Amino acid sequence: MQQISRSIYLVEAKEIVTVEVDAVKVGNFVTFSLDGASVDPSSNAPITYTFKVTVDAGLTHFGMASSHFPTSAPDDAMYQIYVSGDKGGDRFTGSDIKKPDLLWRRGIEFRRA
Amino acid sequence: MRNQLCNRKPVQRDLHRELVSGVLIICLITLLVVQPTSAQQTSPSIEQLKKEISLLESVHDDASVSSQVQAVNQKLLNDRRVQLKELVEVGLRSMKEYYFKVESALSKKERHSIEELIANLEGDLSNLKTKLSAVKPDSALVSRNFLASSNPAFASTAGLQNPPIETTNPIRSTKPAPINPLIVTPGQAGCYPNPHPALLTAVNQAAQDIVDNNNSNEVGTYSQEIVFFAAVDALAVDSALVAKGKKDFEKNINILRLSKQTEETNKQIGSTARSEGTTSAIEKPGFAELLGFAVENGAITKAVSGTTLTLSTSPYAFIVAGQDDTATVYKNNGYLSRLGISATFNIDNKDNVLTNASRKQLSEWNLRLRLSGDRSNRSEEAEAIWNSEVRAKFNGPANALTGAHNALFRTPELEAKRRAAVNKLSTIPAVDAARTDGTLSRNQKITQVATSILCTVKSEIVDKIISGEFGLSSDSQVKIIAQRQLDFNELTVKQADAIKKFDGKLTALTFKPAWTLAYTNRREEKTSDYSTIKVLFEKKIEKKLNWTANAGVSLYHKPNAMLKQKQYRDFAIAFSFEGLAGRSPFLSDPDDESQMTYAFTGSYQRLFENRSFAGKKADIGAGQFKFVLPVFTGLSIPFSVTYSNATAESRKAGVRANFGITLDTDKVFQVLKIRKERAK
Repeated sequence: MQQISRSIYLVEAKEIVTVEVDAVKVGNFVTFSLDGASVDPSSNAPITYTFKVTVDAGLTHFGMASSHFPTSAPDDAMYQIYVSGDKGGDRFTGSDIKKPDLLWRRGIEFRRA
Repeated sequence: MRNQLCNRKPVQRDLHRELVSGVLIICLITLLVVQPTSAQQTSPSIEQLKKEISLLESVHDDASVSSQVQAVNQKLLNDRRVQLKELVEVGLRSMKEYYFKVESALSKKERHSIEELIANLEGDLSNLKTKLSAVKPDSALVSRNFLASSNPAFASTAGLQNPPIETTNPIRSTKPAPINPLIVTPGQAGCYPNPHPALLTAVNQAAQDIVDNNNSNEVGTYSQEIVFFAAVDALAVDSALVAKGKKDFEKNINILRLSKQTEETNKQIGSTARSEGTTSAIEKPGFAELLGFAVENGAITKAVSGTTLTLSTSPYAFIVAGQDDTATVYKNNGYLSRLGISATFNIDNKDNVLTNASRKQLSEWNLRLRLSGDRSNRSEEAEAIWNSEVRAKFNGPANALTGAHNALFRTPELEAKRRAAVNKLSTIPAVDAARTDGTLSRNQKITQVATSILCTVKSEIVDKIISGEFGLSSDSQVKIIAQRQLDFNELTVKQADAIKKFDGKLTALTFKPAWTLAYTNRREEKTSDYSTIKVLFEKKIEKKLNWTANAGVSLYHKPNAMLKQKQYRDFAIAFSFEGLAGRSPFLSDPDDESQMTYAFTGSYQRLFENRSFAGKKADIGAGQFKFVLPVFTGLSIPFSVTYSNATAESRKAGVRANFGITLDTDKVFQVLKIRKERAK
């Protein structure tokens, strides 16, 4: 896996992609959507989503992490996204979502070259 | 009169060309002058516009008409076509929405007839678009008219020189309490005056991320919202009513939530009931709030009340002082938040209260151990509610967006165009220039970045979808976008509903009984130091009623025989019944829902050493009534009347009254937030 930006990654065929979301000062009130369907977390500490790359070359898996901050969460509460793949590359730091943000969801693209 | 003149054909064209041109100019000027007024009175129908367009087209096709007349005629023809396009788009959108809703209930014949109507409208629209695109734009006018047609919310302002700024809240995921403002508002970007609210929100967020991270690539994070809602704008599949309904719904939820926060009264952080400067006669076990405060502000927190300073901390606060306070850390170490430690000092130096934190000034320190389970929003119970009742509904809008992209960009050719568009959004020279301009403030940078992105979205996505260069304009693609837009709106409302229920259940968690074991070490100047061990109990009966009780014993560290002290100092029990008496009548701000509160407290204390003194009483009973009256936002007057049959020093019964003034800055900020929310 290669990181193009915090939200765009180059992936290989059949690569197992892992998306982790660290909830800071807030509970794990996060969901992950991939290509129109919800992905169930494979772990809750931190909350982790995995999937296998199935698209053909030139196409993209469209992901999106959505989060919620209860009113009682402090204003510096945030979610930090990490992305990694099983075919090389680091554990990349992805986007973050902060309570004061206008939007509490972040898109992530997994592109096949 | 106007039509009669216009219908008169120039029969003697060769001889009277100039005369006819003059008559036509009079007709056209009459149309120019009269039409805006009549349009304000009644909107023309599709049929009426078609007739007028037919007439104007006849002039357009007449080679004998002078160029001067043609220029005026062309403008009027354009205006009519744009108006007709708006009407056709509204009709088409309504018909499609209706069709998607009732499709399953229709017979084959009924479906066919509606599909035929839709096809006719699409044919009309396609013809109009072709004719409009063939005309060189009178830039500003065409731009506004395009937006009027693509976003019905803007339609009523088409033709105005300066589009007004929309005052409703933009679509956002489920945000209850916005903190960052929408810096670029509708109408601010002249090249794209009224983008879809969700698009505008995404662009604003992208601009903030670009500026805050000094990286133009950040826009890619929001490309799904940007591309999808740009397509919605381009293809005019937005539903103004659905969007407006949702916006109002979210705005109401935001205001409701903030108002609820101003009602909160269960916030008691500070010293125990026996300290100076407090009107409390009973201790609450509200330890979670105490710890929450500690975690928010660092390993140790300070609170000043009257003449006392209280420093508070917990082992958990120290765990997270050196690392992020993540959900995983909380899962592994959250049990440490059961224990809280605080110390109270008498204040001598009011200029720098922390200098009072010395052994000499120490009046008491205490430990509190929460015996009952975690009731915070990070508890396992809160997470279980989320997983079982919220998670599935929460992901709906994201599924609509990722699903739309998955359904639309299925070929490498189309996906390449999408990637190229996203790449263009990430490499806008004006964005790079703004974000690196040291002379601009953060807000100025965000404004310029967001405006540049909007203009690029307009030119690279919206315009290219309309022209067909981008793709996405086939019937099946339009149907996908229309359906996903409906899904998005519907699922966003469901998401908001799920969140509302979730927050309600989080509140219900606080209704569970809370047990706390408290140890207090008291430093006494005149008598002897002693410790108190208490069990504290709190139970909310309902939102407005709260029971609190505690019982404990006190022991002297070094009993003073001269003062007849023995190991056991006293035994004490107390109970309190607290309630809300409604909104304070003194509050002038309608957003401030601060409640009047009352409490009846009873206590009994058996002070063993008093048995040995004739002038003192061993059994001391007291009853107190306390009333807190909010008088201004954040400012309250607590008042208490206490009757006791004796005091620790005298057996004389008596009544004493205390009152004070308290300022809650949190409440002031909440009301300011509500005002800001309403102003949007």
